[in-house]
Amino acid sequence: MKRLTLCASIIIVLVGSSVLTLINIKQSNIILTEKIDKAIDFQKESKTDEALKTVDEIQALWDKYYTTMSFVITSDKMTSISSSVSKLRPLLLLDKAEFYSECESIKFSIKLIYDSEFPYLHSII
Amino acid sequence: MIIVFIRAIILYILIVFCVRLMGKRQIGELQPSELVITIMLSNIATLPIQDTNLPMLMGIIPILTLVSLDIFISSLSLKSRMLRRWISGSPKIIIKDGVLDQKVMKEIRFSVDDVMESLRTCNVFDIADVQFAIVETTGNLNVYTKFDKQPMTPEVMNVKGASKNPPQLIVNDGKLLSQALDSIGFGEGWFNEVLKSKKIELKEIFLMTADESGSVNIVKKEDVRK
Repeated sequence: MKRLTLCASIIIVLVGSSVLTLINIKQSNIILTEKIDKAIDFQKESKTDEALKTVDEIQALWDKYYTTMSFVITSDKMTSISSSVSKLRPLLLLDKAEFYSECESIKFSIKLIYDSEFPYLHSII
Repeated sequence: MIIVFIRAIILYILIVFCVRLMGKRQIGELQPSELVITIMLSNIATLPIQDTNLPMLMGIIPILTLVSLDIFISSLSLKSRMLRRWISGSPKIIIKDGVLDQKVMKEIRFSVDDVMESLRTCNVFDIADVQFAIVETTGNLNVYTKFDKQPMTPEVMNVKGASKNPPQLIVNDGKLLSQALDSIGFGEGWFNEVLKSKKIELKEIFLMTADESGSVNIVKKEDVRK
């Protein structure tokens, strides 16, 4: 009976933590996407200082996201996003058009991470 | 490199915990579902060790899930004969009244070589000596030989005797096992008397067994032998 109770507890913890992780990824994605959109808007309005501040916030958010998500997500998925995030500041300072493409790339990649973790039928099979 | 080292230690501890959780059935003869779990566990455990890009949780979660599922199904199998038969199958009688059932052999895909090899492991070298043989769900063959081929027992020889419990290990490498001593009906007082009579100390004993009649067998530690 003890063994059964322990196994039931293990299953409940695993299911619970999986659901919580998914919710966490979704919340983090929403916050990151909002920040990126804000940075894009500031850059379009030529508010470079605000854009730079937002990019620094994005970097900080991403560092936190990377640390927590690396428990459940393979590092190669996150390495490309880390690379894109690190390019944002220099591209912004140089006022390069690639800034927008890197922003879109980050948004798409974090959405992909969520989609790959969500139990869609095509993901399971 | 240190990541691989630490992961190997953690996963080793996890696997030992899981095998203990699954119980003695896992360490002994395996049912088909248990064999599947064992193979899967060993493969899954190596993945996070070999590939440091993979989070360790990607190894831990499937291991714990499979072990928990196995325990649930085993527990359900105890209550449901139908489920037990569906998961583990049922034993098959392959030899009855000395006659080999070729239809059963074909059904369980047992060749003649398999049958003969299994009989030899049961110390039977002539199929004519077998009265009854069953292939268990684990694939092992258990044999009941004909009467004139069975080992002689006191009952057959009409020899009467009292059953008694086997000797118990009461000292293990210089440590007294009090529970074992109690189980044979003696206390520490008796034990100390025995040591005194044998002129030996507890720390000098490597192994000591005793039975309910009080007879003892002592093996001294080699470095204190004179």
